[in-house]
Amino acid sequence: MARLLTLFQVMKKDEQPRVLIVEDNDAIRIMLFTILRHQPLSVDTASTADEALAHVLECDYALILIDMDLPNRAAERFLREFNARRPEATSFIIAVRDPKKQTAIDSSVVVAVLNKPIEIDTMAEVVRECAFLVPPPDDPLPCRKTPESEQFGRAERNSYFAN
Amino acid sequence: MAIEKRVLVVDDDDAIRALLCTILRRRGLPVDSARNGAEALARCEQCRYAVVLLDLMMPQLNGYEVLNAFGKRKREDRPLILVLTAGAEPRNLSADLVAGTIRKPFDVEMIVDTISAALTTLANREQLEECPPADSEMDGCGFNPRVN
Repeated sequence: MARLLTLFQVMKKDEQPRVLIVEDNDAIRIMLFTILRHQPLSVDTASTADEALAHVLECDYALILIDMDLPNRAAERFLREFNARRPEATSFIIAVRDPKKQTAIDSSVVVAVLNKPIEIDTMAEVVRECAFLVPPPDDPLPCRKTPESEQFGRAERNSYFAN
Repeated sequence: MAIEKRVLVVDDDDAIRALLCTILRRRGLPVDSARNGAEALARCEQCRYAVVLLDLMMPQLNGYEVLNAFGKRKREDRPLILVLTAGAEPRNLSADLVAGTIRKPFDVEMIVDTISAALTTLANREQLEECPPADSEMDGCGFNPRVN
């Protein structure tokens, strides 16, 4: 365990598992982002299925947290497209859904489900634990995009030093 | 009238109310507090809140009853609600009303960061005319002269 911790501690920032949050509600998306960027994770966000698809075609994600209640069943469309266009991807997919809605979830794609309203601590714990379970891809995409969480940290540091 | 994004902390525990109010105030946010559901609803009649932090188990009117009252409002008139839970209470909360739940004891830094971040996405709205200055701008957060 100690060795594992040490391993995590020496991991460089760009070696942290990368996580994608797909959520159309601005307040909830930024909340999830804020919570997850405090974890040892690199985090990106998308507010639509198209935006999410652009992300996954450019970078490998260890974990995708997706709101299944995106308008016009866009989450289902995203998962279908993702499967078709990145069949080799090993991403751990966690669906977030309103248990009162009868949202169909394809269990061959989605590994776990979190019910709304999201229990923030559970979400953070599950995402952190699961993201580290996913092995890095054998043939990773040449992702050149800095994770949003890293950009955010930089902006924070800059404003801190400016004051 | 002032344009602001005010936060309401609803908890019967004095320490939690004072702690959250103090920390949010330090972040420059206007904050009110209420000790139970009845007081919370009275506050919501007077003022517009961007975010409500709501405990569930409280005397008089509990958090579930407050949520029922918010459920009768139009969606655009509802604040963003974060529920504070002790973990043991029955749940079954509506995802239409509640943005997320936070277990007690909570990580103070995380809760404040989360609220600050969520506030950046919420539209500025004019405060109601009859709304008094926030508790956080008056006598601080530990003692509320209007309710004691």
